[in-house]
Amino acid sequence: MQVFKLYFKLLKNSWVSIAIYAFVFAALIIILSKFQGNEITDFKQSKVKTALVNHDKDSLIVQDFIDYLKDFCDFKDLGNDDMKISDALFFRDVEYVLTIPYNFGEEYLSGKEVTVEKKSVPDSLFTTTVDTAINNYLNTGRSYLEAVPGITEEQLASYIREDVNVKTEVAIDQATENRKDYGFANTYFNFASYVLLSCCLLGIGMVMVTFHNIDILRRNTVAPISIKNINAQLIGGNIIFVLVFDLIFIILSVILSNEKGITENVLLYWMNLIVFSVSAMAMSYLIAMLIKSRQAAQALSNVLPLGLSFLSGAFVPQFLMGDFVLKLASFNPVYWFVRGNDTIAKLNGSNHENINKIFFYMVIQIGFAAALFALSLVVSKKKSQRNN
Amino acid sequence: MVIVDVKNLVKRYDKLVALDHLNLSVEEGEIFGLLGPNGSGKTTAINCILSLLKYDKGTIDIFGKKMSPNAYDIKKDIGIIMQNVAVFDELTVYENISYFCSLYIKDKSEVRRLTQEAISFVSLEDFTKFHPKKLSGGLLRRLNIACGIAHKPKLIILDEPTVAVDPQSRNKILEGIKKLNENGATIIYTSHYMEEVEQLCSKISIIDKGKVLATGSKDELKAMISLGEKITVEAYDLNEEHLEEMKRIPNISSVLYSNNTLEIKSKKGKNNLIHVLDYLQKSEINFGKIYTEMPTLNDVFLEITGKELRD
Repeated sequence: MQVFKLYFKLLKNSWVSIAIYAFVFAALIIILSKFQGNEITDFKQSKVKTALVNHDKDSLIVQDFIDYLKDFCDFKDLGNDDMKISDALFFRDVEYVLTIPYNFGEEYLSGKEVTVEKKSVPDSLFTTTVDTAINNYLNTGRSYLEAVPGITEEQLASYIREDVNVKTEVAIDQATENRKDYGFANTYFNFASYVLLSCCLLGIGMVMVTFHNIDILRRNTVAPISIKNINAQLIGGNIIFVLVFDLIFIILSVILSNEKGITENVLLYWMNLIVFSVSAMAMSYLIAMLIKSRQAAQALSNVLPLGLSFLSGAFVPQFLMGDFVLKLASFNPVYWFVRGNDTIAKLNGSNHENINKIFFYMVIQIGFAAALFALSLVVSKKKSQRNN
Repeated sequence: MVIVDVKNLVKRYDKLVALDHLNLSVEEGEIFGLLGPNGSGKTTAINCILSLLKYDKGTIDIFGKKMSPNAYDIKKDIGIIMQNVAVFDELTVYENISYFCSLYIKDKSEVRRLTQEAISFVSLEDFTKFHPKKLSGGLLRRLNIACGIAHKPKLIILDEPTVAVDPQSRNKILEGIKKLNENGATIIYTSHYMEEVEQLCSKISIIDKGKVLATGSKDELKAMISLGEKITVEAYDLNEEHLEEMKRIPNISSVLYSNNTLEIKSKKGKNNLIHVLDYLQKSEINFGKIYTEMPTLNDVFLEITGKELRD
């Protein structure tokens, strides 16, 4: 395991550069997470701050009506002072003012066209909820008053409450191709492709360039240890290096994400990242075979991942990019990683249509990794032939 | 016992024949010098011996066994010091020696002990925590040697270890090689510096264009050529007549005069200093410094190949 241990000693030398990448990534992603809305997967009902002015306190139906509205309104008692109510509206202490006129209950029961009075903050979306609730209650009541002659006040209140309390489960289908915002996790993992590739190129590139130095290679070759053994230890080092990075990305994603628990989507993101890291490792291995100096590794780790990630839609969403660019990008694994992430973002609990696609994209990434490793072996053989 | 036995080794690079039926035989306990100009095939021969290069024809036996890339039982007893310094810039002096030693020795405490011994051997005790980039050229060469010999090999191959090294470090390296040999290691030493080879090696093969031209001890090699003593005299106002007369002195093979320096070469095994001095005195020629030297390996090389060793 001498070579394996040496791998990490050599890696220590590139540690500062790698740490800078990781730190910048973490900082950027934190900033992004602050500015980006969270992924919406369900709704929670909120109540509208409402000032209630009730001039018909003795009516049973009015009382029931107000009880019903408590599901939608957070009532505040501001009395009957017009100035105070106007101030409250102006300063947004309340968003809605509901006034129930004198004899409202009696006139409503007699079938007269009566209305409640309302004032609201201009252009407020919340007020629509209260309007809808009021209309719902009063219209339902009117239907019963017309349909059941002689209905008592208690019966009417009971029938209305029975009807308006009927609820239906609603599932939000996010699997729409035109959806523009895939949420934090998607942005995070897409961006991770750039950092992961940069760090792989830097770390693996530096170590492998050192090991492939012709003089070092000769000294290792004359030692009583097979080249296969040396290569196996180096590959082992590469795998551990990449897995550690995957783990860091995964932990960071858990810390930064607002999601509660590990959902199926999160697991798929992790799986996609691990699969991609195999491709990143293969790409770094091949490039390390082709370059001769540490400076070249450093330069390439700056340029290549940035170019590939940009081309593949890691920073700019793929749907904004031209067909030709996407076609070109499809010849590198970053594109399939990003595509996989985007597809994962469209999944939800009730939609599994795209899951096969995601696994297909992962298979493509593994195919890239296999091809790149095979190419590395060819390059290695050519180099060895040239040295002979 | 023959430690390294190379027979009819042929190595071609397309049409270029780098090694042309090369034969070498290195006995146990020898310091064997492979002397030849740059490009003569010394490093190619070493690389073939170490199975770093494939060769087209011939056999290589080390410790009586056939050498191959997978002959790990042979490799464990070989130490190699390459022409170029082969160490990790990222590791300290101690870590470098320890790593290369650990490729040969499994026991950790043994590796530690041998590493310390190697550090002492090359006198790098004060630099153990230094990285190679902080070392001077001479110290770097010593580190390179320590990395090659830390595991106490029976056969040590040094491929031009003193190239671009200051005289002080060179002497230290040469002393170290002698010490390694005294400790029982067989040494193969390649160089194009004839003084080093002459000073160090008990047996020398002169190689050029991939062929061994001559093999033997330095005295045996010098005995192979017709040249004997060389007399150099600082002399003034010599004319053609003087030179012609000197040429007629018995056993003198050539007389050259330029820039007040008279160079007289005599035939093998004959000493003519007294005759030359006698002639100068009789002819009332003013002369200053005078010294004689025996033929060098360069003269041997010159006579065999018709060119200087450093051409």
